[in-house]
Formats: sequence, structure tokens, C-alpha cells
Amino acid sequence: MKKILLISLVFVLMCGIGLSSCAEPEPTAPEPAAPAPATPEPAAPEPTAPETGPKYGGVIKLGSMALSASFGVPWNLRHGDRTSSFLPLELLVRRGQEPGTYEGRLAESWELAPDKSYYTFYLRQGVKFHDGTDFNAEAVKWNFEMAKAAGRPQFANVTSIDVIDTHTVRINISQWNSEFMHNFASDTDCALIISPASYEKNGEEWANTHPVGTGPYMLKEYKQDQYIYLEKNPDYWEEGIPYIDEIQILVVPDMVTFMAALKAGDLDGMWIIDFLTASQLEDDDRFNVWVSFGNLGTSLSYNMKDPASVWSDKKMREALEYAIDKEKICRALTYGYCEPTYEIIRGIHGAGDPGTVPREYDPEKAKQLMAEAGHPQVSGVNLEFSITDKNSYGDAYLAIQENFAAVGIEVELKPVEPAAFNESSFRPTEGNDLRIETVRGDPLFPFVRVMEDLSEDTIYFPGAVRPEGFEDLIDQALGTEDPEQVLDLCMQMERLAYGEIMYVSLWSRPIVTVMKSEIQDVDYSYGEVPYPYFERAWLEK
Amino acid sequence: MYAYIVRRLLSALVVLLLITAVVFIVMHLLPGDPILLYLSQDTVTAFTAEEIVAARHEFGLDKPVIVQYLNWLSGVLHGDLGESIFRSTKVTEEIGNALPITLYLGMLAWVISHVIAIPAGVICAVKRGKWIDTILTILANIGITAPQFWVGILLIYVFGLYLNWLPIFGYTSPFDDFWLSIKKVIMPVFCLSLVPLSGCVRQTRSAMLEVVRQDYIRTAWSKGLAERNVILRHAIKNGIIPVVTLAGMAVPLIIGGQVLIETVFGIPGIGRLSVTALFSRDYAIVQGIVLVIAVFVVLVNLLVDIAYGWLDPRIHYD
Repeated sequence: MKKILLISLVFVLMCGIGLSSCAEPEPTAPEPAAPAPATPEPAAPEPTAPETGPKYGGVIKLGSMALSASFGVPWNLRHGDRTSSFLPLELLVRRGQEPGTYEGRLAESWELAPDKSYYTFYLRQGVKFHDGTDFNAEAVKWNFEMAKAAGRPQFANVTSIDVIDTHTVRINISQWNSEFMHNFASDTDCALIISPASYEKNGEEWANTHPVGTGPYMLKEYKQDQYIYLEKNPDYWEEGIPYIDEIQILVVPDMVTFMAALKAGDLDGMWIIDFLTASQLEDDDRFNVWVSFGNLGTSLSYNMKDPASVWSDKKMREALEYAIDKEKICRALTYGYCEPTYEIIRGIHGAGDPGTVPREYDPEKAKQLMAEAGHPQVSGVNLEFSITDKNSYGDAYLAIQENFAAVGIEVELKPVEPAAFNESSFRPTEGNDLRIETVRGDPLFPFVRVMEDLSEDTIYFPGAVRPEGFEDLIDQALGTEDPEQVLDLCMQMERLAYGEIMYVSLWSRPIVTVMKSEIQDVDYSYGEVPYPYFERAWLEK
Repeated sequence: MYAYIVRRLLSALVVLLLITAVVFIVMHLLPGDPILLYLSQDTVTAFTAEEIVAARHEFGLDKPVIVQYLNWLSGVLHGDLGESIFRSTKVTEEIGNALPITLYLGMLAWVISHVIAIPAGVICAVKRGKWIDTILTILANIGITAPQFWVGILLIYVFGLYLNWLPIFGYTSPFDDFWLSIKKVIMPVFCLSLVPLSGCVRQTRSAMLEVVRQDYIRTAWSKGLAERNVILRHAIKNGIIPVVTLAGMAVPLIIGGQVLIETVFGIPGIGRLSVTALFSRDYAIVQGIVLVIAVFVVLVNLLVDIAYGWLDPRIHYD
């Protein structure tokens, strides 16, 4: 009996250990498509930096709620977290620091044909992919043709791609528009460049988890749902960088665990953390908390198209905005991280002054407008919001409910499961119901957001009526080359949309990032999403 | 016995078919569109109506539900559980990566909890009313009532943050780094063991208390047998039958109930995978996981029933 029990126990343990080994096959090193040069070159001496400036070396360990299961093939990228892609992969151009401008990366310069039928990109010379093959015009042609073949809409207007010479490529387009260049500069789209040789040698399945690009960091090791290790690219084309030896992205799905790991020194930072966690780290000298305001916002949408909805009346929509004390709600109920907003094109005030007059909190005016509209009391209104908002914004929504009650709008809060909420946000709200939605913004490229979200042709804000003249302004902006004129047209659109209250904007929805204070020169300014760029980052200790 | 096993396996097939059909229908009845979720998972990137149509066609979700189910069933018979919408990977690969980790932790927890719990329960019964019985019973009550995730966070703060003895999160295979692996599983396995351990202590204690009051045990005592012989040779085998039932029921709970622990400790197991898949309406992954867990439960229940026959000769399956 004892023997049988003992043998059974040992067997169960062995089975368990054996099974665990099945879970994780030994990581296979990425196979470079082309062999490295046969004669090893003498190792270049490590560049030395001045004592006060950036220092070389070190490892940064970052937490992430989840990792993409596919991050190596640009035209397959769908996931929200693109960090594992943009550290090893690069774009021809990237968004500049001024509205509507671009900076060269893998392309040194570019020009639009006088008849606007093609773009010519003059590529950087001497750039190599991580597998040792050359970056050149053929590689760009191959990448963009693959993205087009995959049906990515960003390349729908590309008719063909011509290789002019080794480092010059021409992109022929069927119909130019003012935001076309943005397709090549967006780090959330599919214009990142990978090595054709590695892809063709190893196949797409391999390439999905092995980003072989030209970026400052290259893949060292990856385990699905666990970590990605990226090591410094010693042959990076921009001399002297990167400074950090290795960046590790580790999955930590729980914020409490993240906090403990950060304080214990097991992690050095994380991006997109919740307000509560951020507020707990704000006063700690060991960490820097960074807040981005321009990219996302919270809005209140309704059905303007249904004549039976009270919100089809402009006065009622105005009353809604006057009824909400955004200033107080932001100050008291979002840990001070949100800022009240009075705009339809999210982030437009970051690009300039559209000249609109904000409808600030004025409950008396709200009551007066409702009386004028013939609806002094409104009841039976559901206010839908995603249950995932509850931790950061739950109290704020309760405050909105009270604000509305004070002017005679009886609202019932209706938290909805995320998947159901997602589905419902693509159809107009029913009757007088209201919905809390996230709006995208981009102070540097406001027109991109207008085209993607606010135009009548999009699937977003299905209950909103676009004001008269709005689509005409979009058409004008599409045909305008000068970024300043495009911006001016956006200001006109904002005046129209805010005047008609396409939705009620509530507050900014900031993205909060925390990093240890030893990490210097992390740049958040280039991305469409303010992800941390580590090209020039270095460790103080 | 063999005829019984074959009968049970055949009925299990019907059960599995029903389970997968019900789960498939329920998943499709739930509000939420996997394609919209798939395309809008990146809050910043917009998408078009054409992309929705293309993606729906790509994943075969434009077909009637019954056709989708039959296609899935046909794939299962060919060893193909389908493709994940969200992760663009094979479901068999996803489960193949996550399930062994969950089984490893679950089995460790199950074995450790029962190795400790059965002797502890026997000691409680034999020493009924003594200090050791009181202490173990109190501990068992605490163990069964303390929420696992709360204990996990407590352990992280004490052993990970303040004492810095154990790694706070992550998983390492024992074949990659044995000692690191051991260090990493201590806290999650402790948390997972708590409920089955406490439950088993209580069950063993009460079962043994009942057995030791039986006439044949009194007879054994009166014959002058040593306590060790009375307990180990005569009492345990009868006292353990209800414990076997409990232990059998604990197996699927341990496998399917690791969601919180896997989340708190950042372990890429089947619990975390299933919850992520459920929230994203990733039908193929949910179906695959349900099928695997259902097979597992059916087999464990069969083993438990067979064990009854071995423990109690009065039970026959012919």
C-alpha cells in the first residue's frame, strides 16, 4: 500500500514536471537569412560618453499588461500594444514635432510629384537589417507590396511601386490627399519595414514573432504571454545610440503585483497605468510619472438622427453640456489627471485656438434651455458606460448623474460588459439614452482624426448628425497641401461641430506612464500613441 | 470492469458533444462581436466598414452558426481546434503552451495539499479535542475562508517586497532553471493548495472520527493492537473513501480555478487564457479550452469511480 502510494505520488510529480517542459520548448534563436560576414571584424571599441551626459549600458525592465502574440509582420499588426514592434522596426518617415510635419528616418528626404501622382523617397544609405542584409529600395517595394496585398486600407491608393535606383523608390498613387504621407509615418499602421530575406527564408508564422528590422533594438528572446527581450543593435545606423544594452518587456497583468514589483526593483516602469496606481507613485522620488493629454478623450454621445430623441434638439444638447461641472469632476474625482475639454476635434486646442466659446458649467442656463425646448424634465434615460471604466471614472459618472438630476434629467447608470459595450458603440443609442465613449485625438495631426472618426463616411459616432458644410470642409482639406491651411480648415470644422454639439466632450483621457527616475531621456513625443521611445534613453546609475 | 469503462467512455462522448454545442451556442448568443473587438482593440487606430466585412469573412464568421459549429467539430475530429481570432495562432498551440503550466502548478498543489492534509486530518481525529486538533482545525478554517488572491497579494508583499526572498511574478520552466522555477512556484502553489488542503483536513478528520467509532476498530483496540496498526491498517482505508471523492472533485477545480492566481502572479496558464478569450469573444479558444477541461473532468471522474472499487471491495462494476 505505502509503496503504491509513494510510486503514485512520484509519478504525478514527474508527469507535472514533464508536462511543464512541453509548455516551453527551448527558445530557438532567430535564424538570419543571410550569413554574417565570413571574416569576423575586430570588435569596435565601446563609445565613451562624457561623464555628465548619457552613459552606456544597463537593462531596463518594463511591465506590460499583455504582449501581442504577433508583432513581427507590419501588415498583421492589430494589437494595441505596439512597443514590441517599434523598437526593432522603423518607418521611412515619422511624425515631426510640429503639426503636420514629418522627419526622415529610413528615408532621408522625399518629394511629391508636381502632378501629385507619386511620391519619391530617397533612402538612407549604409543601413542594414538585423540579419545583415541591406536595406534598400527593393526592400521598401517588397514591404509595401506585401501590405497592399494584405488589403491594408492605408495602401489602397497605391497603384504601384517603382525602384528608381538602389536607394530611390517611387510610390505611384491613384488619388492624392493631404494626409496621405501620414500612412507612411504612423507607428500604429503597417508601414514599418522588415527584412524581406528573413521573412522569405523563415515564413510568415516565424516572422510574426521575430521582428527583423533596422531599429535600435533587436529581438533577443521571446516567450508568448511572458516576455520579450530586446538587445541593443550594435550596427544601428545612427551613430552613438542606443545607450541601453537591453530592454525587457515582462507581462504583469495585475496592477497590485506591478506596484510591488516596481518597489522591489524587479521592474523599472510601465506605460498605461491606472490613475490610482499613478497617484500612489506621484510623490515618490524614485519614480517619474508622465502624463499625456492630447490623444484620447471622454465624450457623451446621443442619437441626434432620431426625431423622437430629445437630443435631436440643439438646445437640449447644449443643456447637457451646461449641466455638467467638468472642472470640479476632473479636479475631485479623477485624481487630478483629467482636464475638462470643450471641443469636438479632440486635441484641437493643442494645435491652436479655434475661437469657440466653451459651454462651462451653468445649471440655470441648462434649465432655461430645456424649458425653451419644451422638455423641462427628462426621465428614463440610461447612461451606458463600459464596466472597465469603473475604477478610474466610476465616481465621475456618479457625479454626472447628480449634475443631470439637478437640472431635471433623471439618468440611470448602466455599466455594460466590455464586449457588449464595444458592439453597441457602433450603432446609435436608443431613444433618449446616452453613452460614454472614448474619442481619439491628435494635436499634431487633427485632420487625420477628422477623416478617421468624424467624417460621415466612417463607422464612428453613428448617432451624430454632421453639421452642414462639415463634409465640404473635409473635401477642401483633403486637397490642400499646406499643413497650415489644413489646420485652418480644421479650426473651421471645429467651430461648426462644436456649434452643433456633435457630442458633448467631457475631459481628456490621459495615458499615464511611470518610470524609475534613473531612466533619462525617454521620448514620448513621436508616436500616434505616446509610447516611450528608448532610442536615446540612458540610465543614470 | 472493462465493459464498464467502455460504457463510461461512450457516454462521455455524448456529454462532450453536448457541452461543446451548448457552449458554442451560448458564446454566440452573448452580446459582443469578436470582429469589432478584434479590430478596435487598439483604441487609437480607426478601421473601416470594409475591413469589418473582410475580417468577418477571413475568420468564417459570416457563415450560419450551425455551419460554423459543424466546421469546428470537423476540425476537432482532424485534431484541429481552429485559429484564434485575436492572436492569429492555432488554438492547439495556445492550449499546448498554457495547459502544461496550469497542470504543473495544479498537480503540485494537489499533491502537496493531500500529502499534508490526509495525515493532518488523521492526527486531528486521533487527537480529537487536544491542542493539536484545535490548532489544525482553526488553520483549516482560515485556509478555507481566506480568498486565494488576497493571500497571494499578502505573500507578494511579505516575501517578495519586504523580505525579498521570492520573485514576485512570472513563470520559469524547471527545465530552464530549476531553482528559479522552484522559487517562482512557491507562492502560487501555496495559494492554490490552501482550499483543497483545508477542505481535505476537515473531511479526513470527520471521516476518520466516524470510522474510529466503528465496532471493528473498537475490536482492534481491544485486541491490544498498537495505535499505528489500528489507524494505518484498519481505519484509513475506510475513512479515506469520502476523501477520495473530495480529492477527485478538487482536480478540475485546481485546473479550472487558477484564473486569479495566474493573474496575480503573472503566470501564462489556461485560466488567464480562458478569461482573456472569453472577454474578447475568441470563440475558438473558448471552445478548445472547454473541450480540454471537459475531457479532463470526465477522465478524472472515471478514475475516482475506479478507485472506489479498489478501496471498497463491496463496490462492483460488472
